[in-house]
Amino acid sequence: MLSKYGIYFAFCLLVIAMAIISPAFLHPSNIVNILRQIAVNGIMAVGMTFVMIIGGIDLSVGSILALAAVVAASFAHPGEHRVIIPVLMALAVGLGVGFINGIIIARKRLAPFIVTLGMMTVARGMALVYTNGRPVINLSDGYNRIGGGYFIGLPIPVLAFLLIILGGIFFLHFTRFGRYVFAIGGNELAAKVSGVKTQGVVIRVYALSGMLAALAGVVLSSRVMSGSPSMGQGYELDVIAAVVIGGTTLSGGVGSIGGTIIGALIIGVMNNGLDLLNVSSYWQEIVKGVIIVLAVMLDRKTNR
Amino acid sequence: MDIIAPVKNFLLLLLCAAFLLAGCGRQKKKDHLVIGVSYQNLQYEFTIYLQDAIRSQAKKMNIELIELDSRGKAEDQISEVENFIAFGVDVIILNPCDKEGSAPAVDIAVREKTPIVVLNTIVTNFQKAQAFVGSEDAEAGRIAANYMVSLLKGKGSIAVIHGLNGHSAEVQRSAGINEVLHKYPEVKIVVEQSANWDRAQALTLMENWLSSSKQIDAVIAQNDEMALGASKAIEAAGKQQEMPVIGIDAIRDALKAVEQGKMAATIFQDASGQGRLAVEIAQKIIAREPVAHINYIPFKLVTRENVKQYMKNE
Repeated sequence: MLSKYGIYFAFCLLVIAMAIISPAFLHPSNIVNILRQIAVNGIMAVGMTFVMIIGGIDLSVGSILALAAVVAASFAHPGEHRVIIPVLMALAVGLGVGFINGIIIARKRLAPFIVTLGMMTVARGMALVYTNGRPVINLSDGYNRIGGGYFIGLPIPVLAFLLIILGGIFFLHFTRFGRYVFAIGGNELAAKVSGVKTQGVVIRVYALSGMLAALAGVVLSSRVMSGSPSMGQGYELDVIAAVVIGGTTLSGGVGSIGGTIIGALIIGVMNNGLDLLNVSSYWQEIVKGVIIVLAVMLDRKTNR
Repeated sequence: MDIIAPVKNFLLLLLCAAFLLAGCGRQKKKDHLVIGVSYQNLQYEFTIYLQDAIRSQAKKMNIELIELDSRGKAEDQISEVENFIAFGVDVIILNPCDKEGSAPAVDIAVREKTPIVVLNTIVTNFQKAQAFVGSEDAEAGRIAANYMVSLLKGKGSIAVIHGLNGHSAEVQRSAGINEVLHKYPEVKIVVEQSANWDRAQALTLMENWLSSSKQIDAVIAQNDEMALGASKAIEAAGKQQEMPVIGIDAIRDALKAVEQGKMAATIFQDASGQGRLAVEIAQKIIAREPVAHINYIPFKLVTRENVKQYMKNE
C-alpha cells in the first residue's frame, strides 16, 4: 500500500511539519485560504494531467490564462453584460487556442513542446495587442464575486476547483475517453492499430487544457479585480511541477488526478507555510526547489 | 515545394530591399529631430503612461520617435541603444530596466558621442549621461513611512510588501522606508516579503500574513498593484477599518480605492511630467541650450482629501 501512496505520505509529512512549526497553519480559515490559493494552479493542473498522460506538454497555459482574463475582463464592465457572458467568452477563447494547439500537434506531427512554446508567446502577444498593454479595470461586482464570493459556505474558486476535480476524475478514470488517453500515452501506435482515433483524442485533450487555463484566468482576474496581459507569467512551470510531483511521468502513460491534486496541495502548503513563517523570499526559492525534488524522490523510492 | 522555395527567396530579397530603402530614407530627411526611446517594459502600466507622455510631447514638437521595448531585459536594452546609434538618431532616451545591467548602454552612447537622457529609473553611471529625469524613489519610501507613522501615532507594527528584489525602485523605496522607521523605535516592521510588483502575489501573501498570528497594524506596499492586492485580502478579512494600506504610483485603480476608503493613501509619481520633460531636455541638448543634470519631479501624497484632483487628470 505504502508503495502506491508515497506522495500522499510526503504530503502528510509536510502538513505535520508545518502544523508543528506554525500554530496558525491548521486553523480552518487558513485551510480555506490554502484551498483558495491553489484553485488557479489546480484547475490548470487537471488539464495538464491529461496532456502529460498522453506524453505531451502544454507550455501555453500561462499565456492562455492572461488572454482569457483580459477578454473576460473586457466584457465584465458594470452594467454591460450578465456575468455569464465574460465567462463564456473566456472559455471560448481558451477552447479555441487549445484546439489550435491540438490540431497542429495531432495533424502536423510537431513536437508539443515546440508548438505550445510558440503558442505561449503568440497568446501573450494577443493579450497585449487586445489591451494595448494596459490592464482592464473597472469590473462589475457580479464578476468580482466569482473570485471573492462564497456559495454554500465555500469560496467560489474552491467550489469551481472541486467541480473540475470531480469532472477530471470521472473523464480520466471512468470513461472510454480516459482509457484512450492512457492508451495513447502508453503506446500511441498500438492505440492507433487497435482502432483508437488518436488524432481526435489528442486534439480534445489540448482543447480541454486550453479551456481550463481560461477558467483559471476568469478566477484569477475576478480575484484581483482586473485583467492584466502580464498575468500568469511562469505559471506553466508551477502547473507542470504540481503534475509531476503528483506522480505523472513526463514520458506519459502514467498519472492520476488524485496525485495531481496532492501535487498542487504540496506547492500550496509550501507557499503558505513559508509565508506564515516569514521566510525571506530568497530562501523561499531554494526551499521550494528542494522540496519539489525531495517529494518526487520519495515517490520514486517507495514506488520501486 | 519546388515552387515555394524560389518564391520564398524572392520575398526575402524584397524584404531586404525594403529595409535598405527605409534606411536610406531615414538618412536623407534630417529636417527634424529623431529620438530613440528604449523602454524598460511596456507591460507595466506606469511605463505605458511614460510612453503616452513622450508620444504626445514629441508630436507637439514635431519630433520623430523610434521606440523599442526591452521587456525587462538589460541585454536587449544594450543592443537597442547600439541600433539607435547605427540608425543615426540625434538623442537617446533610456528608461533603464536594471540599475547595473543597463549601465553599459550609457557607456556605449557616451563613447559614440550620441547624447543620452536617462528617464525614470537610475543606472549606476547616470552621471555620464547628459541628464537624468525622474523622481527620487527613496523620497516615495520616506513619504509612505512618514504617513504611516503619523496614522499609527508613532507606535505599532508594519508589514512591508517589497517589489522585485534588487530592482532599483525596490532598493531605494526600501531605503527610504527604513530611513524613516529608524527614527521611531516604537514602530516595527514585523513581516516583510517580496510580491514582485504583482497584485495576485500580494493578495496571496497578505492572506497568509492574516492567517498567521502576527499582529499587523498597517501595510506599506512599494507599488499600487501590490497595495490593491493586500487591501483585497484585508477587506475579505473584514479588517479594512483597522489596517490601513498605502501604495505608490497613483494608478487609476488605486485612486479609486483611496476614494472608497479601501486604501489609506497612495503616492503620485508624475509619469506624464517625467515623459514630457525628457523630450524637452532632449530637444534642448540638440539646440545646445544648457540643461540641468538632475531633474527631480517630486512625489505627492494622495489621500482621501485630495484624491479628486488627481482623478480629474485621467
